[in-house]
Amino acid sequence: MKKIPSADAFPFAILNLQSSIALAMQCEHCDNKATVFYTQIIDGIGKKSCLCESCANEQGITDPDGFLLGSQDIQKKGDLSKPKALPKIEVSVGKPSDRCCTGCGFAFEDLKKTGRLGCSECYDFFRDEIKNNLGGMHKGTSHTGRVPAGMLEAFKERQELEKLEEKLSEAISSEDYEKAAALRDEMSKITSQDSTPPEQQTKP
Amino acid sequence: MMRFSTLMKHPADWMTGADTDSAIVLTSRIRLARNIKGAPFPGWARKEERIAILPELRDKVEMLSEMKDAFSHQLSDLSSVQKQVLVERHLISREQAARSDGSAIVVNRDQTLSVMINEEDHLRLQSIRSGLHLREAYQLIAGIDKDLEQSLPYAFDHELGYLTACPTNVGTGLRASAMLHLPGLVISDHIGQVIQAVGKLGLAVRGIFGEGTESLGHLFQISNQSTLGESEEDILNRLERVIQRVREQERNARSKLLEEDPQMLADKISRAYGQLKYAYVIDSKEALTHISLVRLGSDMGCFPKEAMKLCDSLLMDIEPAHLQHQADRKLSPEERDTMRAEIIRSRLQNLSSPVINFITS
Repeated sequence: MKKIPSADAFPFAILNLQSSIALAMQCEHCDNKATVFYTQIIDGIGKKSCLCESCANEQGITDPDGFLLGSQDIQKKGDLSKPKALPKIEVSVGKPSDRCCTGCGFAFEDLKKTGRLGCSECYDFFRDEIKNNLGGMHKGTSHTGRVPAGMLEAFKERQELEKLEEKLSEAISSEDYEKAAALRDEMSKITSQDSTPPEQQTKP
Repeated sequence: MMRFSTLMKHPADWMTGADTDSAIVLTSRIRLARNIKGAPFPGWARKEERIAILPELRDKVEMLSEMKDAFSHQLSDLSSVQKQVLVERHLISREQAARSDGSAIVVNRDQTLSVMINEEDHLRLQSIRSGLHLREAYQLIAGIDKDLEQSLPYAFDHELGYLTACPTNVGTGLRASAMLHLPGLVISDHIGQVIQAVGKLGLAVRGIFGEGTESLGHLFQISNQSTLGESEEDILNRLERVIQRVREQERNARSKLLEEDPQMLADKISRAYGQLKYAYVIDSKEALTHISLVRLGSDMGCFPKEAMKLCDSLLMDIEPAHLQHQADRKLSPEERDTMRAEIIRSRLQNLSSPVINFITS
């Protein structure tokens, strides 16, 4: 018998997070800012590390093949001839996988478990990840319905700016700098009209 | 404030089939999901955070002109049977019934409008109408929504629209649905095709009681899935067109059954009437199946028009929590089956045997 999935069931796939937001973490080997976070999984046991770019390059982490052969951590030298299992390495540059929403502390991983987000700011914080997973769920990827009265102007403005931005990058790639300058002027006119974005009316 | 007993004594018009054309489409329902900017969604919020945000939300909802003398209660103030009764009346969701502290329900006096506070989202505005009237239900909800947005800072994003706890609701936050009675399509074995076709159009079909084509009482719900990238108007138009087509298919299926096998139909309807009228023990599965057929018989002229309303009230009144509420105590399944039969017998007392006028010799 065909079972009909609930409209609220959220088919989230395993995610491969690619966005790059550098957090203020220190490299494990020197005092530089860590920008490379990697997890090595050997026989099912994961080990997380944070490194700066130069240390990472030195260890050959950005080149998974080199890392495999060069690292002492992964396998004891004597075992190299007959490895039990190939270690699986996930390298994500510039971002730890346990990033949490600054608004509510929600980790994106939690979405896979609960199918629900933590707060409205999660949409801003995990925007790319969420957008990447909306495919197939909805008719489109941007809102075309009703807008709260207090936000109508800001909404139209944002959409107008996005349109101009698109035209601008087109103009630049076709080297039409005159047009690009005009577009840039137009954009700054919109943004200078109200330097503070109109917020929705808060508590009376 | 409206009391629980008052709510029970006066079921809404849509619960008993007020619309002149609710033979196939029983009800239309609109639900909007709304959240407050910056506040954690109820499912992620700590209990204290839910409790803290509740009074302001509840105040704003109670102040709506439509909510004058409303039924307004915290879930923690309701017994588990009372919560279950509200679920059976479609006034709260199963998810909300599982909640207690920091969650509330506000229902207007004629029960056409209910607002769930701190369910999955901060606010779930819901309106139900008898018959196929999605647009009217939406009008009422849109008005409420406009009032509330004046005083509550909604979470809204220029790209993703209204932000909701679950990304499946983001955008318009609109879920529109209708409840359909499709015995013709089930008996003629065409329901599977219809469910598939509707599914391909991006809409969801599910049984009201039970899953898929096995739905008890031949009752199905059709709803939109997508909430982003389409305007409210587009969503309602698409859904309405599909529902109208399914209604037509059901009409055709009934005509075809009448034409091809009137004896079978007469037999099914009359036996269902007999079983209901003379049963002393009946479980809900059997009851729903027979009520559905008497309801079908009423549409085919075998019973007077009032029989349809009688069936619609019964569908609700024989559900487990309704029975226990009426008995005013917890009932074992066996006790429920006896009480269910008793209620059905008394309601059918004045309903005379079916008149079969569609068999021509």
